[in-house]
Amino acid sequence: MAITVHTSRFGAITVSNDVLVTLPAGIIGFPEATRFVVLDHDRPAPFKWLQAVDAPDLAFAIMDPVDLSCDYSITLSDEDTKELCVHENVQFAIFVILTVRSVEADGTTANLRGPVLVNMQTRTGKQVVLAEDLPTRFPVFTPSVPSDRAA
Amino acid sequence: MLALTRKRGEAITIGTDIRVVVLQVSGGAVRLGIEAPRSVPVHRDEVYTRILEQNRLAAAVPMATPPLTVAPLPGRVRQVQVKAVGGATLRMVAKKHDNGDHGTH
Repeated sequence: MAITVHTSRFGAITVSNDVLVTLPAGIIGFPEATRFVVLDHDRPAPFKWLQAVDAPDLAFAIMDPVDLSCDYSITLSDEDTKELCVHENVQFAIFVILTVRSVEADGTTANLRGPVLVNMQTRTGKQVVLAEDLPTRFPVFTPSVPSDRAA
Repeated sequence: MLALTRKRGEAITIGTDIRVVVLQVSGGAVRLGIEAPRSVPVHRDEVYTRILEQNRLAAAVPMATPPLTVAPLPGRVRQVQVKAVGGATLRMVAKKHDNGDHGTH
């Protein structure tokens, strides 16, 4: 079944139901929006959009953290592991949310401390708060390995 | 704000199923033990607040060029280690389209 997603930035987009991602707790600070779709640009871009299905104004620029730092590995709490049904044989998508501060991309930062994890079997996920001391404002356009990574 | 004085070993109960115990007091630091249902997230306030602030800033994306196609989710994980004591480590390695070559160094 297809649904039409109304967005303030991209107009109306019709998507198939099975591409939707559910974040039952929403993004931290925005608990009311729980259904999302990931949208891409028609030309290659390093980031994509996490668009809320039920809130036209709510969209986040997101990025694969591997594009920022080759070795982004995170440790989940016991609670998050259980909640997300993490097992060796389940694939997960992990992406980070970008903050774009101006039209010039220079001020763009990525939040490595609060990634979004999605269980690809259930397409359900959550924004987790990591115990590791990772930066919440990691500069996107000066690629380097974060120096304050936990070992 | 409700203010209560508690000694080491004493606790407070919030609602019917949250309990906060004072485990240790030393110098200016207090070590707390928190018993809460799994559905109640517990975070250090400053970290949670920082992520909340970043999300609010991130939601105010100034503009966007019209995309758009539905995309596969970025950042698919290849390795998951579930620890015996609970918790899991998710390690993101080579992405599917770059054949594992990151041109290291």
